[in-house]
Amino acid sequence: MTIVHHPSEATLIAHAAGNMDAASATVIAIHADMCPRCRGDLVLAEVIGGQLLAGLAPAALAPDALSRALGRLGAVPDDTTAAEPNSQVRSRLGFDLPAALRGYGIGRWRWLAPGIRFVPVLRRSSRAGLDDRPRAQSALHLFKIAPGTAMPGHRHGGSEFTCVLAGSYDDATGRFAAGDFAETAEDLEHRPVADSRTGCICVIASEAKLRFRGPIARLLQPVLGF
Amino acid sequence: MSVDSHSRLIRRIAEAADRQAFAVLFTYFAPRVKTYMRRLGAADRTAEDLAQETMLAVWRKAALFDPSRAAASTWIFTIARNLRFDAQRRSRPTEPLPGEYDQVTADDRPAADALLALADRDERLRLALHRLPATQAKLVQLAFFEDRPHREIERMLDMPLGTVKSRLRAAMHRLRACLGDEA
Ligand SMILES: [Zn+2]
Repeated sequence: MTIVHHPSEATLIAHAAGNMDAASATVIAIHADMCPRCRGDLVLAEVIGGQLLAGLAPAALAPDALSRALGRLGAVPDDTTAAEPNSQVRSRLGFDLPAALRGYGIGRWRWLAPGIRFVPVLRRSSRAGLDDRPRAQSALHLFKIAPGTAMPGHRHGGSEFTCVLAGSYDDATGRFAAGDFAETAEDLEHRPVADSRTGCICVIASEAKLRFRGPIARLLQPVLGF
Repeated sequence: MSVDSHSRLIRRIAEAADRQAFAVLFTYFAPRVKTYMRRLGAADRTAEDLAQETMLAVWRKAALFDPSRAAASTWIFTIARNLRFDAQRRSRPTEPLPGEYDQVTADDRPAADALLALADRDERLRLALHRLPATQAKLVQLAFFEDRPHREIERMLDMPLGTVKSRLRAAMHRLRACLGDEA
């Protein structure tokens, strides 16, 4: 497998920093698992992170922080439930789920439009979650596009990360095969077409709803515009 | 305190369950991990909890720490980051029935196969970071610690996104090169 398209350095650094929402981080992790070059960059960025961490100004902790920690040293951590066996997922979805997706409860393919099926993984959200202020959280979807099928032309209202898991697709920016990563800027308009022989399975983190072009595509908007 | 002595403290925990060593590490790292969490936008209480959890994980995983592969600060950084990521994922509505969560990187050693795994790598990188041109160093900082990094950087430095990205590429290139030279 020769990977041609990689995340930008800015994206890799933000990912190594833990500064990406869960959906985007998952797509980047999937790419990195397949890409030694980006794994190397992530290690480099982690070392930078360690250096920056050591250089940060210390925050005030609760007065009993240390004694509380010392009191918990013997405690056994909560066990997380084991993920569903990969063989089960494979027989339901028809391909091997990348490791970074195995912790999610992945359902079955749903019909979306002729030649296009999808599995929703994470919903888009702007809740604050852990944080002080709301933070845009991308949605995460798996897509399966039948051979030769074109996605309706659409425009992005926000950034979008795609990693191809199997097969390939083409759009105006090039050809994307297994392992390739597409980082789509806001306002790019594109019309991906799945390879005529293999079709394409990909995972997509999208920040904003897609906006489709043309009357027929707009009829699909309520379904497609996740 | 030197990088080496942090590593030794982690070894003390691994080999002798040394609570005193833990207390020293905690005092140094917990407040900085909390700052890291705050910088990424975590509420005060969450940041405090995540700092606690990070240090408890350091205690539990001390035996996995390999000082020839990573500096203590790098190792602790990746633990903190993974815990934040876990917590973030758990706080999200997932689509179908939520599966319980497996960490993306099952083990907390940096996935260090591609780059060199030399004991002094971190020290060389620290020097290289200091030698970066000021704007590049600032950009790397911001890319790490600002919420919504790209757009914030664009706004704060009044620099178009394309420039942000190409400067970061240049910075990573320099850092990579400084490690590669002597590898
Ligand atoms: Zn890559």
